[in-house]
Amino acid sequence: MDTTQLLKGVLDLAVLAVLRDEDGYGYDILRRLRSAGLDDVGDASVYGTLRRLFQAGALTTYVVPSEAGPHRKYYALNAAGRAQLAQSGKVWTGFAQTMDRLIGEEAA
Amino acid sequence: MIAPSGSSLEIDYYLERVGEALADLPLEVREDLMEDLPAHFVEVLEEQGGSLVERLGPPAAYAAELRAAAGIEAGAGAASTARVDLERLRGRLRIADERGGRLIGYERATDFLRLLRPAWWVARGVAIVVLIFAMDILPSDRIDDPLGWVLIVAAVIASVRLGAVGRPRMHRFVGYGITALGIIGVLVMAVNLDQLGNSQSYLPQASSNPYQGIVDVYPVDQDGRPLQNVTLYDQNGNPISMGDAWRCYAGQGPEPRATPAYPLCPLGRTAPSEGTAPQPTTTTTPTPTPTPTPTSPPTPTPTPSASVNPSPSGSPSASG
Repeated sequence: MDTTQLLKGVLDLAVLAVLRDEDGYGYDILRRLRSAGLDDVGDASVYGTLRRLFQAGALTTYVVPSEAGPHRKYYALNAAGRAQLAQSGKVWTGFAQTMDRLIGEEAA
Repeated sequence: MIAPSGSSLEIDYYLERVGEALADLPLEVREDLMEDLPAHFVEVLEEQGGSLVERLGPPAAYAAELRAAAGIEAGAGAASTARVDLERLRGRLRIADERGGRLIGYERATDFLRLLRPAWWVARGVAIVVLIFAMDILPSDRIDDPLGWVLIVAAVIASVRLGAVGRPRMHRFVGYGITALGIIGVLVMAVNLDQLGNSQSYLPQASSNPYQGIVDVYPVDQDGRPLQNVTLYDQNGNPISMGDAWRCYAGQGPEPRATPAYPLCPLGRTAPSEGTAPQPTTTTTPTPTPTPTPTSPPTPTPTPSASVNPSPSGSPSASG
């Protein structure tokens, strides 16, 4: 099964989740997602998702000047983002349990 | 906008293509969407190496993914009137691009120009080397010897590689500088070609030379006396060569000099043809004309006077 298709539905949730404990900039967030095991996550997909969540009001941004490299725009969860994370998390957990059950019954 | 310090031609190129793929979006939306990409691409290259296309896929696909993930429909977003005008201008340019292209058998005129890019890469390589010699950074007379040729070949190879591969990576403004130098170099070459053409017009066969019909020059002084061995100079001190220096050379005496002395044919030898040179008016000693001089009394010629002797054949006079 192609995980990129699955990712499309849950990328918002994944991005919100990696920002829960620590703010991050674009490339940093991408790295967190990949090191968490989402190897197939697309560069542009993460970027587009960040812009959309920001436009939707779930994220705030701030720029951190960097001496060595380019300035970085950090993304942070705000209250709306945390609420969305909690809500989407519940939906996912329920969905995943349903799928697990389904697959478990099939396999049994 | 954040100016990425590690920007390169490769990133610029990739960004440009992404921007083209998002060209239907209002400028604000597009800028917002692409705002962080330059800095991001710098990090991608630094951490992962390789090229952007290897890491991120084709720019158009990247743009499509970006658009889809950001949830932006084509042409979405409110556009201010200034933006609308800008978009309209863009639309007109696009139409002109397509019409111009159809005229020469391409989908777009820019397609045709894009095909010519390798030619520009070669031209700018040559042009920059020419410029180096023209400005005497290297002695300008050496452009024809192996040094010049080696430099031109090296510059062309480097220029084509830079254009085709985007390597070596360099700052955007260095790229602009190279383009500017290339354009200046091409202009310098164009001007030099022009001069080459002009220098050819000094050859006698050129039709624009008003003195081409002149075969000799006969200088005279204020009194009209012919002058010999006169050399004429132009405003730069260069001797003026007119006529055919060999015209009156009969194979004897000194050969004609590079700097001609006029008249080429001294007066005594070949007179200037009627009407072309002023007739020298001789005011020196007039040549004696044979006027009748008063002669001495005529010496009596010893002619036998026939008067004494009556004619023997005395014809009978009519008196009889």
